[in-house]
Amino acid sequence: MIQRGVVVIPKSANRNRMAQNLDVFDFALSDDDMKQIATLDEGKSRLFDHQDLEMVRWLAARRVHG
Amino acid sequence: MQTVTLNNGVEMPILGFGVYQIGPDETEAVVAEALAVGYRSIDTAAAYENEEAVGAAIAKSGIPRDELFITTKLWVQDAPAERNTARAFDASLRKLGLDYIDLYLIHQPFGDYYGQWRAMEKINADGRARAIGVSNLPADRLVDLCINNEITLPSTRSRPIRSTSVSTIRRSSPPKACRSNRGDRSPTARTDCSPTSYSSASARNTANRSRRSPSAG
Repeated sequence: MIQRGVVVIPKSANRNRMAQNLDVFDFALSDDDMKQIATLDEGKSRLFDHQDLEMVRWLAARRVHG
Repeated sequence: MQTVTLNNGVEMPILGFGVYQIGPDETEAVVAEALAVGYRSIDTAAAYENEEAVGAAIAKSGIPRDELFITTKLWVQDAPAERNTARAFDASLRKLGLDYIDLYLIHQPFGDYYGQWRAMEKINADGRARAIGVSNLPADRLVDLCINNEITLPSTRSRPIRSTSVSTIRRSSPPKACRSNRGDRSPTARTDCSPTSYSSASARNTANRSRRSPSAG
């Protein structure tokens, strides 16, 4: 993603994995690798589905109060 | 740290630290670790209910404010959203213990998010948010938002992707369709509006093969 110029925001509560996630600027993937990874794009989010109407109903009704 | 330039000239670290699904009880310690390891961009949201913990870690870190890039997000607001957004932004600033936010995002395209955007444009104009953007908007909603607001294109658009831990991806300029409708702005051409899904295991395997066989360039 970084090679594509896309900002990434990984989350980890594990210090070692935090450090590993940050240690990505000393190598580059080849064009073939980038093309292979690009084929993984499923065109949708795996986190949640905006077409899942029950999920949308829950999200849209939730309020966060400051 | 490598940065991207948002469409309003603000520089954003290309790699940040996310705190989604980190509970408020452990967030302060986790963010403190992240800052100690070297992260300088932290991504939170009002809806994560851990802004205060993020703010505490920031305050105790001793890191100068201008070396940090802090993103938070505005949750769904009832209509009319202008006043509610101003209140919600003030609450986020207070919880984070900051005078300004680097990037303020609409979190979900629900409720009166057009009113939210108009209020965010004022917050951006006031200098209290250096950049504003949108999260979780499908391309057609983003184009409609751009067309029906007069002042500023979103600086960023983000999408969640799933790997073994939760990541988000953030594009540094709106899709081409927005810019062609407005006729100006955005130095970086980006035509890919689609969200991506990503396998971290596949990426690691690919990266590991690259490490063993360094490629030219």
